Parts: sequence; structure tokens; C-alpha cells
Amino acid sequence: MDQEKLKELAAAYCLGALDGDEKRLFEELLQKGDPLARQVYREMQETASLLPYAAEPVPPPAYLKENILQRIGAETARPKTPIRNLAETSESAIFENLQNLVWRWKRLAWGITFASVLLLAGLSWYFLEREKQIFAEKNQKITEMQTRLEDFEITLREKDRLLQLVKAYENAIFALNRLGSNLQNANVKVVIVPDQNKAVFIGSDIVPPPPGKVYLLWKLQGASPINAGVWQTDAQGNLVYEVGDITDDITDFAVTIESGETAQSLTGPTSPIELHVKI
Amino acid sequence: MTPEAPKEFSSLTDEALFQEMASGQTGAFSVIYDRYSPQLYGLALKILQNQSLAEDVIQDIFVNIWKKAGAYDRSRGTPIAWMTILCRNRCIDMLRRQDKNRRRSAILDEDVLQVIADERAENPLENASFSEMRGVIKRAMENLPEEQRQAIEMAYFKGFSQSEIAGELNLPLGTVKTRMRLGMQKLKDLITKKWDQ
Repeated sequence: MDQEKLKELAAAYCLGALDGDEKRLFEELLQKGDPLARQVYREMQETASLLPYAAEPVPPPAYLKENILQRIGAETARPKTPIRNLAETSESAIFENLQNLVWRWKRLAWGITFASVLLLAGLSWYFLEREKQIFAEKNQKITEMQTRLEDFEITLREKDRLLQLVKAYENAIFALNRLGSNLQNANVKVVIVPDQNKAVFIGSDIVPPPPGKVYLLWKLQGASPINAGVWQTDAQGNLVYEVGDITDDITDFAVTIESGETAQSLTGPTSPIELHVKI
Repeated sequence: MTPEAPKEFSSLTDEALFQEMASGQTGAFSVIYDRYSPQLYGLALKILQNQSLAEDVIQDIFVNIWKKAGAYDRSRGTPIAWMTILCRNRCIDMLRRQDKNRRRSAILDEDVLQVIADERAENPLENASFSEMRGVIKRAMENLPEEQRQAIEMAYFKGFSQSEIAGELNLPLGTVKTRMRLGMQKLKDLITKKWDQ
């Protein structure tokens, strides 16, 4: 590299204006000890080092020194490692250093004690809170289980009552073949519950009624039939249907196939269901 | 009221004061501050053009000087040269932080200066007083051709890289490089000539 190019690099480098590859190149030359590069650098650096003096000196505001002394005051409070020879140190300085050392150890001990107390308090509070939370969660689970148990007991009691009903009261099974040939296998059991004035109809193999028709149940009261609602079966043809207001004057039931659920008299095919138990 | 520097330190050299600072003597620090803060504050004001920012820089570098006094190495230059580099670098950093579009270009970092420490140039005006030095530098700068002075000032006092100067002045990069080289060469000649007179 010729001297002019080196001067160009050195001038820019010493002014802080060299960057990228050129900066790396020039630094490599200096580090390798290139004599020409070093000579040129020395000359340019000599000049660049004088540039700051082109700035006029300005006394800074007085408060600036106070601020700086305050900032370094904190540093001074922590004694630095003295660079003086110990032999040159006076007795009072040694005593002062020992006092400083003792004071630092005391401060450290107090600091550790205080931190330990804080840590213990924090840990105790944490574990106490955690225990409280666990206890509350367990309590909630117990309450939920008790509620479920009560529900289960209610369900069990209801089923038991129905079972007792079926066992206790006279009942009968009726065929529904008079409603249609596709109901040959269908049958219905009637359970009368006298103390509640109601009757429960439990059926199976009941095919769906013809399109646009419904199975309508009637309570027969002398010559006047009372519409007792539509039998709704599930997809498997099973029926559970409950009718209330079974008073003494209800003598029998009948099932018909009707066009609407609001019919007021028996018009379609009829299957009578006789009551064997007087209410 | 500004604390006065203790008299027992006033007669010490800069190097001796740095040794005292390293052992925690704030009195020595006070003397260094009184000696050089006007020069460094003036430099910071020239670079930053802002009193508040210049005050921040002066606070930071003097606290830094206090902390690093023990690490000061004579082979890196005189204490004032070292402090001046700290001040200039801090100011240029601050300028760049304010203008994020500007990329970071070369700063004369201390590590590089350490590598080439043995090549450190002696200041030809080392034995001169500040006012004498300032007079010589000022006259030399005034005698530079305008375009060369501009290139040198943009680089040193504004922290622009060569390519940034070329962009700012809308000039070919080669022209900027030539102006910088010729300017520095002429400046050296002018300073040497003036000082010899």
C-alpha cells in the first residue's frame, strides 16, 4: 500500500471517521507492526490529539462539582484498596482501617440477619396460605360429595317407592291389538296409586301411530269420556305415562287413534282398558 | 458553594493526583476537576451544542475518572489526553443516540489505543500552557482551506464517518478522503511552523 493511501486511512482513523473494512484493514496493519503504517499513524495522531484544544474552555456551573462530589461520596464511603505501603501508614490509619473493617462486618452481619428474618417470615406466610387453600379445596369437595349423596338418596327413594307401588297395588296388562294389526305385540300395564289419585301406564312394542294421527288416552266417566292426553313413546316403542285426578267416578280408560290431540270424543279405533281396582 | 480543592494536593502532578484518587482521596479528585473541567466542558459544549447534555457528560466522565483512576496507565498518554478521549467518545455516543439513523462509525476506543500504545505520539505542545496550545491550534485551524476544515470538524466534533460526510455534503467519497488527508497534513505543518516561530 502506498504512503498516500496510508495517510488517507490514518487521517480518517485518527479523526474517528474510518469504519467498516477500511478500519479493520488499518488496525490489522498497526497490529502487525507495519513500520510505514505506524509512522503515518503517529504523525496523524499527534495532530488529532491537539484538536480538542480548539474548543474554548468554559467553566462548568458550580453545582456540577457538588453533584459529582455527592455521587462519588458513596464510593468514598466504601474504602478502596490503599496503594500506599503499609510501612508508611500511621497507627491511627491502621486503627481507622480496623474500625472500618469491624463496621463493615457488623453491617454485613446485620444485613444477613435481617434478610434471614425476612426470608423466614415470607416462607411461613407462603406455607400458611398454601395450607389454607388446600383445606378450602378439600372442604368444597366434601360439600359436593354430600350433595351428590343426597341426590342419589332421593333418586333411590323414588325408585324404591315406584317398586313398592308396582308390588303393592293390583295391576293388569292389556293388549292394544284392537287399535291395529301392527300392534299385535304391544301391551300396556296400568298401575293405580290410590293414595295419590293417579294411574301410571307402562307399555312396550308400541309402533308409531299412522302419519298425522296420535294415540289419545281417555278417562271414562259414565258416558262422558275425558281427554287425558297423548301417549308419547320413545324410539323403541316404550311408554311411561302418568295421569292424575283419578277420582272414584272414573270407571275405565280407553285408547283411541285420533287426528288431533284436542279431540273431545272417541272417533277412531278404540281399545278399552278396564280398571280392576276401585279407587 | 463549591468545595475548594485542598492545598496539599494542588502542587501534585496529574499522575500523582491519579494515584491519590486511586486510594480514595477526594481532595486529589477536586484538584483534577478544577484543573480540567473547563477544558472538557468546553469540548462537550462544542460537540453537543447543548448545556444540559454537556453537564450530563461531564458528570458521567468525572465519576468514571474517579472509579477508573486506579486503572490509569501512563503508556496510554497523559491524564488529560485520556480524559479528553473519554469526553469526546461519550459526547459522540450521545450524539448518535439522539440520531438513530446514523450508524456507529469509528471511535478511538481504549482497547485499540492499548494495542498501539507503544506507538503513542508525543504531544509537540506537551510542555506548553493550555492558552498557548489553544492559540496555536486555533490559528492553524483558521488557516486551513474551508473545505478541509469542514471535513475535519465534521469528523472529529460531530462524529460523522467519511461516507456520512460524503452524503451530507453531496460529494464523492474520494473527495472527502482527500480533503481529510490534506487537511490533517496541512494542520500538522501549520502547528509545527507556528510553534517553531
